[in-house]
Amino acid sequence: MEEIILKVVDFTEYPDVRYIEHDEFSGELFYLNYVKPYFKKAVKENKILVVDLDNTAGYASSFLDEAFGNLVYDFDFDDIRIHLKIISLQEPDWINIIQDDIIVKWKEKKDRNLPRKEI
Amino acid sequence: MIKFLLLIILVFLFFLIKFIIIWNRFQLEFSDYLDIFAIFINIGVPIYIAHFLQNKFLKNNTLKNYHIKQLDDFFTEYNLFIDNLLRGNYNRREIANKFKIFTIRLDSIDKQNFERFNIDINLQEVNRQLHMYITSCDSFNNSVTNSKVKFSDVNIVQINMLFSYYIEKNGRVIYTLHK
Repeated sequence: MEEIILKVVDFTEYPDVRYIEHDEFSGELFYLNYVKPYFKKAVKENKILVVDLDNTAGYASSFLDEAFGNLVYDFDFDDIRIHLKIISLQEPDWINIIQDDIIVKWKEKKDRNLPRKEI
Repeated sequence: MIKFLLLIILVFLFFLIKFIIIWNRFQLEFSDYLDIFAIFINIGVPIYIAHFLQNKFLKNNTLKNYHIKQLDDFFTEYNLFIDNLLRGNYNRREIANKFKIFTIRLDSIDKQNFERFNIDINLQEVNRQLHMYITSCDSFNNSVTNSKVKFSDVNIVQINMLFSYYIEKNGRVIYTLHK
């Protein structure tokens, strides 16, 4: 399948916290402005969205949790498995954490009818 | 190495020729042959021990000491980082950046430990647990941008527990290297 490349560093060198109300470079904003529209395009065109985590100054896990977990509430879980690919040479262990841990936990949250945003 | 083997072969041939000359000149008993064989053993075994085994032992020890020093140096820095973090000396950016640097270095350390010594104790796993706990807690996420992050007492206890788990794993790696 063809790929659509999205680099986090194009959004910011300093990914910060979870919610927009806490900081301008939040995971929530990255999701809304980048991940969601790019992923929608990838599913529509039958491509893979490849998200490159490298070359930022470093991540808070809350940023990644919000940036990718939200996909579960807006898209089909099987589509996420097929059309999303995370890459990182600098911190490769994030790949499994996002794909096997974060996304699965958010799916469980959705299945329990919990709201996506915990306020 | 090849030169050394050639030398051994030459020495052996020299003694073999000598042996044949002596055997032709004298009528030797079986016990005489045993004595001659013992002479070869007394020369050969110390050469083998001195050259092959001792060298291998020294190289292996030097390599292990190098890896132990790497672990010690890393632990000193990591310990200082955790100490400063608990004192509230860092802002969010600094915490995320330092964890990234430590993660990259630990990845290399874990890989080397596994490839060279078959040690499958994963220090990265605990580092990541610490990272995820610290950067997902409210004290971190609710702090003002660019201000120092002050952790609650509950956070501090949990961070210390995770860090002590790191210390334990680190100790096990060093113990395994010393074996």
